[in-house]
Amino acid sequence: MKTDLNYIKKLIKMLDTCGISELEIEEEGTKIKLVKNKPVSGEIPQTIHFSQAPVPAPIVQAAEAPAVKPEEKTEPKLNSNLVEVRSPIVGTFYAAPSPNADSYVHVGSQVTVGTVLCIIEAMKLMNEIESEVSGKIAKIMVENGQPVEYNQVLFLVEQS
Amino acid sequence: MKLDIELLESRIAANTFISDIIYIPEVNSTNDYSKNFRHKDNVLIVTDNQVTGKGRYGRYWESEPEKNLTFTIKKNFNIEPDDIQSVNFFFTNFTLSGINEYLKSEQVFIKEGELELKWPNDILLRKKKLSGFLIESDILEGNFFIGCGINVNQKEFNKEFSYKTTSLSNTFAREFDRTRLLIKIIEVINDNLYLFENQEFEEIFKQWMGNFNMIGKEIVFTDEKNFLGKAKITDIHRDGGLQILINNELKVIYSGDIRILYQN
Repeated sequence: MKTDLNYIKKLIKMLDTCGISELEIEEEGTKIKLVKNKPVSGEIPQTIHFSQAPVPAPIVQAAEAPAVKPEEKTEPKLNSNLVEVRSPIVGTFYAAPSPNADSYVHVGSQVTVGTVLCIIEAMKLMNEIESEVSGKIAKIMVENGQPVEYNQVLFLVEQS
Repeated sequence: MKLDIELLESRIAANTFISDIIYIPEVNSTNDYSKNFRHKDNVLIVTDNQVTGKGRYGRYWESEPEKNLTFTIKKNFNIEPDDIQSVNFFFTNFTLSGINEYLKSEQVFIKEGELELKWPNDILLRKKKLSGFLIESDILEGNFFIGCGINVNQKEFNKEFSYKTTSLSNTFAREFDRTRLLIKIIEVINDNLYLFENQEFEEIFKQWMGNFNMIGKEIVFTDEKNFLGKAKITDIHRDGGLQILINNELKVIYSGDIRILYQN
């Protein structure tokens, strides 16, 4: 069995994005058991984390960077229909494909699975961030040209 | 002279990872066109005339017809977001090696360091820009569109850029065979693809760093809001971050432009 970090990350991502809450795999004497955090209230949280990885990104921040990473801050409780779209990498947020082009989406735009929402650029590598759900853009959390951290919330999508 | 597509087919499609070569005599942008092949893997899209080539974030890549190499490789990589910059490190570094190998085969020898990488992903020849990349991806699907432009036989450049842009023919005062240059680049990339298959990302980064000579160099940095600052490059991180010392503070930047301040 491949027990490398990438393999475990993939399993966690799979668990995170599909409906199951527990996964146990045993092969060649190696056992991996993953259980989703059980909510205190007994309610299943509706928040889907976009491309969430289980370990903090190994990013050395600028000297003035806050000691607390954005994902560790206490976030306000979300409307149960709202889905967060998070940045999978550190980079610069672009709302449009080029400076003179229209934004990919606006507040109120209808999106489906695969709709391009924005670009995150790092080192001239332009990453299209696609919606993983169908619904309506409820809020755009960042501004065009703004640097974003790993796992920072970019959009709130009201899932239909 | 146009690219020799028959020769490309026989040398590349038969012997390397490239399974399809799409030649278009004229196209606005090979990267945009390559999006038509989102569901295919290992496709090379190449043109003799890229009319409105794309640079970073809507910028224009200037190229005269039948003078340069402008192509896009569409390839799938199943990698974690943490390792995504390995694609950047890999293709820029091995394109540089391919150019160097081709020049050697043409009996053109350059000193070590004369071909070098500039952050974020340009190739310089004797301190002037020879080649630029624009890589587009959708992380979740693993599609990568690796766009590359190399100045080969173009002699005149837009005045605004001419002082910092070069071509092989401007540097060595002769014409070069674009088809054979492209074949060599694809062959070198092909010979090193095992590094990806084995997930040797540390090695890919190490090799990139081997052609990056700018640590310790003074630069002028321009960010998205056009802030200009004098800084010094102190390190590069494996996620692509450029660590600079600016106003006595260490900062890591992920996008923007740098201009090296040479002492001569």
